[in-house]
Amino acid sequence: MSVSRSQGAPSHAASAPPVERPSTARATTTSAASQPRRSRSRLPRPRRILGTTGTYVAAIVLGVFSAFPFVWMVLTGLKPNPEIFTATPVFIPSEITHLRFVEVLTGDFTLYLRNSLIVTTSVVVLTVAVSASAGWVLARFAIPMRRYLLILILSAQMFPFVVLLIPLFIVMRELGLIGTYPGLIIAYLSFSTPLVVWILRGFFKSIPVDLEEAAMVDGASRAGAFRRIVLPLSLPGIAATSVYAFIFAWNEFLFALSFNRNSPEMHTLPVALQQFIGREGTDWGMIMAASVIFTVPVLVFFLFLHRRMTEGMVIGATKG
Amino acid sequence: MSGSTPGGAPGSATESGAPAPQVTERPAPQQEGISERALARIFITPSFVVMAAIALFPILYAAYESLFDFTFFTREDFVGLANYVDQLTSPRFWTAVFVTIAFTVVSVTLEFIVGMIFALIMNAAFRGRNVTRAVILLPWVIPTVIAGQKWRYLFEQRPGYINEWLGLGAIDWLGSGASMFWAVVIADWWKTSPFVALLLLAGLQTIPQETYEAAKVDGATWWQRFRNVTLPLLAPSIVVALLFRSVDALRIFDLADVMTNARLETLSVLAQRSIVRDPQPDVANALAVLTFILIMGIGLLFISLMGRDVVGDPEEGS
Repeated sequence: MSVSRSQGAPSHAASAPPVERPSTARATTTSAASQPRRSRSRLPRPRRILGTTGTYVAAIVLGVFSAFPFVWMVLTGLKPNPEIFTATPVFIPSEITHLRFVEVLTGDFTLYLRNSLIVTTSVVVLTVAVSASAGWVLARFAIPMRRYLLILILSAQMFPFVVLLIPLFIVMRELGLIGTYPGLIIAYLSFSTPLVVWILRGFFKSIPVDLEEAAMVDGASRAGAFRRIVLPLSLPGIAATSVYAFIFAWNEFLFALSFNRNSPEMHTLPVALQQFIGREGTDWGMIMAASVIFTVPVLVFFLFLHRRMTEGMVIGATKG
Repeated sequence: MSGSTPGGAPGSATESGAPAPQVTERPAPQQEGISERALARIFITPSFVVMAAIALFPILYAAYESLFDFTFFTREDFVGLANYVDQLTSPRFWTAVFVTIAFTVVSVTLEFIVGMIFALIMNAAFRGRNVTRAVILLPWVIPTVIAGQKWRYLFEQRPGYINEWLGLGAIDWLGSGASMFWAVVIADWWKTSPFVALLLLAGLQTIPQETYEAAKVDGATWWQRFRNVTLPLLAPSIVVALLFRSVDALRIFDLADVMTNARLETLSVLAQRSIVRDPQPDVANALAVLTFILIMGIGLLFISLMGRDVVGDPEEGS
């Protein structure tokens, strides 16, 4: 995608009086409207460098802010035991031990990883499918009381999480879903759907109806127009909401623990992680090593979807 | 509430396939096969069935149970609204309401500001953007319990990193009062800003690049472009992000529980305590329903103030 998005840098705003812009820019841009792909930034060079530098500085500062506890987790996972709890904090380990990571990865880890992957991918796929269809209907069709339906969708998120546990447990037990994958998947689905419906509905609304109608003139059915026109144009939204559903399902602990209390072979990673805490005194080195490994699949998933998000941007750029 | 309601219309026209006047904004070419309204109904049913089974039932269940007296987990006499009266006359409840609302206002504001900065950076094109995007997401990915523990150690009194690094001596941040509140706010701020950023980033990506180009040609400064192009076009995403963040922040539990051992009493902490630590289902159910009413009220207020174009009809929107 184009380089011109670098104007996001906050720092080059203040120092850049608009007069500096060369007058030739106007001619270039008028033509750029017909060829949106070639939208390189037409900022004069010094400003662009300033803007880019500003972006880098901001990115690094915020990156450090975000990454610090993660780095700390990695370092704690690598530290020899005596250095984990000290009177004065030891940040950099004096020697490196990778044994904890090995220990986490062997053992039952692969079983829990498999459970987590099954539950999480199902939740992501179902959430997007269910929410995209509902979001599209709520965006395009004049349904009576739509406003209240949207709020009703939200109402699931207005209840203290712990209090949902007992009634939900009863529902799942009646349905015979305790200790099964579908039990967890359905519960998670109900928590991840509201936000995704709202977000995707916004995306669908921003896509001109004319595009759908054009497709229908060309012979597509209404649903076909949705699938072939609206969905591809909404890829950034679908990617972002997938990341949200993934992280939610991947991290959820309370329900994963309660639903599968009597079936340890169904435990997901967060539950397994928690059990490191109870075992013969808390082994923080192990917990940190496990937590680091725990976060890796989410990052892989995000980087995988990242390309999709960028593709969506390209499509979005050509539509204007 | 079942799947039949959302499809909506009391309609005999439903099966006939006739284009009912209010179905689409414009009369679309009618296709053979199922009618548009049937299509809408099919598309919307799954989400509402799940919602009804999973969301509505627990709420009604708790509302019903809250009308009874309990001894441990055994239901006894019907007591009407007595459980509610107990809560509404308890100073502890009102303190929790205050703490919860204060937490929400402060943390959502901070998260919005930082989330917006994150989103702008994530949306900017520069070498290493992919890595930056992933790094920015890190805090959100780390399990809350683990993140809470890490922040707890940062704020700890004795081997605490913050006291050590800032040379503050032995300040007991998590001991009580305001410092405890701010410690949890900071941890939540750090943890949840990436979530706001992701939602705003998705919105930013729908803004056509040409809009910026045009504004730039007209000599708009960065700030003017942000004020007059980005913000208005991003408004729907902003409203959704703020609404969902607020609803979620009003239920803050994990961080308060882990970092302060539940000494910072929010509504969810109180509810959790009355389920797990000191089982009183009557109290828990009444608290849950009151929390629900509070959040619903705030949500409706929010939507009526800011969300007109977000929940509005397609005719008025876009």
